[in-house]
Amino acid sequence: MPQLSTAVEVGAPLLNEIISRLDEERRWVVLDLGPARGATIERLGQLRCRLDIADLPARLPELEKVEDPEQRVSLLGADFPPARGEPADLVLCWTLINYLDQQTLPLLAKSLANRCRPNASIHALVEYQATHMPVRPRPVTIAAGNQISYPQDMARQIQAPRYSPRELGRLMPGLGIERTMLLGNGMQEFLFRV
Amino acid sequence: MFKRESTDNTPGRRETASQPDHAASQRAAGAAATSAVIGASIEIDGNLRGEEDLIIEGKVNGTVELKNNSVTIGTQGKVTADIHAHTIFVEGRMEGSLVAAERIVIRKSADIKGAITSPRVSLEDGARFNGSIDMDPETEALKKAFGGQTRQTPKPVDSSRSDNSAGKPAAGLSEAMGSKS
Repeated sequence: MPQLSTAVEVGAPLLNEIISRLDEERRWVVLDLGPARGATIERLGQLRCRLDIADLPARLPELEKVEDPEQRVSLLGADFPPARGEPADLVLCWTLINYLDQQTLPLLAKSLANRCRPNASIHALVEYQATHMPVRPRPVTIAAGNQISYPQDMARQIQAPRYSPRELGRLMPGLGIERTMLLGNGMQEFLFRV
Repeated sequence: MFKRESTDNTPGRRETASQPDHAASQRAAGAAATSAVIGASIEIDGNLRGEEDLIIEGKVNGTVELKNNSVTIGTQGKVTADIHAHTIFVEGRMEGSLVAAERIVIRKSADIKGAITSPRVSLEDGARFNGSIDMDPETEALKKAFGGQTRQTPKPVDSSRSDNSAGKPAAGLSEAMGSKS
């Protein structure tokens, strides 16, 4: 019997704050590690913005089969669109971090640090309350009213790593944790700084 | 080589009615214009230029330049090209660069790898996309392709935005946020 999937909307104050600070006076480069979502494009389209979409969740099945760290770095970076001389000002990780193990997170941090402008910001959502999460990252999008939205898919669940700020600080060298905030949906917002 | 057909919005009017996607392509191409159609069995390598709307259901490799018209890559279209057009609709597979003076519309059936440049881009969830979407109306790629022809309508302004960083040189967002816990 098919599972019903309903949308969940929750406020994400750190994401809202950082996007509201993207002024119209200059050009911004945003790197989105999730799949392309219409609402996110529409919101960032109100700005002078280049949005690079990497869709790393689509690579996860392939990444999980690779043990060699160098191959993993190569795979992680393979879907980054060419920087074309413009480093990223903001990276949107959405829930991707929950799906990367302790060996892969440092590689991601390294790839992002190389791709970003100094002092760039990296936003992520980390499961802190739920012991289980969907088997693949949910497509999160920016919703109206300063919220984020994603489908609540309960079909298949895997154990959530529930990374703590201390763990992520250790596993993502080169990125400083600037702020965190607990959300009402059992996730924690992280704002890293390159 | 091309079919020429009316692209009004009446379903079933197109001659290639056996193609299941024709209604979507007609919607995309817009009303009351005469469009050229590259049919599903056609494969083209080279440069396409012209002054009429174009629907691509076949394979195109090369460049497409229809700066005053629309280009629709239909659900059966497979395009590896650089496309410059007034408006671009994508329903099929595309690899390369898309530059549109007015807007680019990506339907959920689309599968795109490449770079998109247009002041207005809309995407239906479910579309596959990997690449860059440049929505800056002042970007060099637009100026180079269209000169002063692009529409420079001011983008909507978020009224909740503070005005404390206008005119600053490129700086990190964290600096703009001005707070650190």
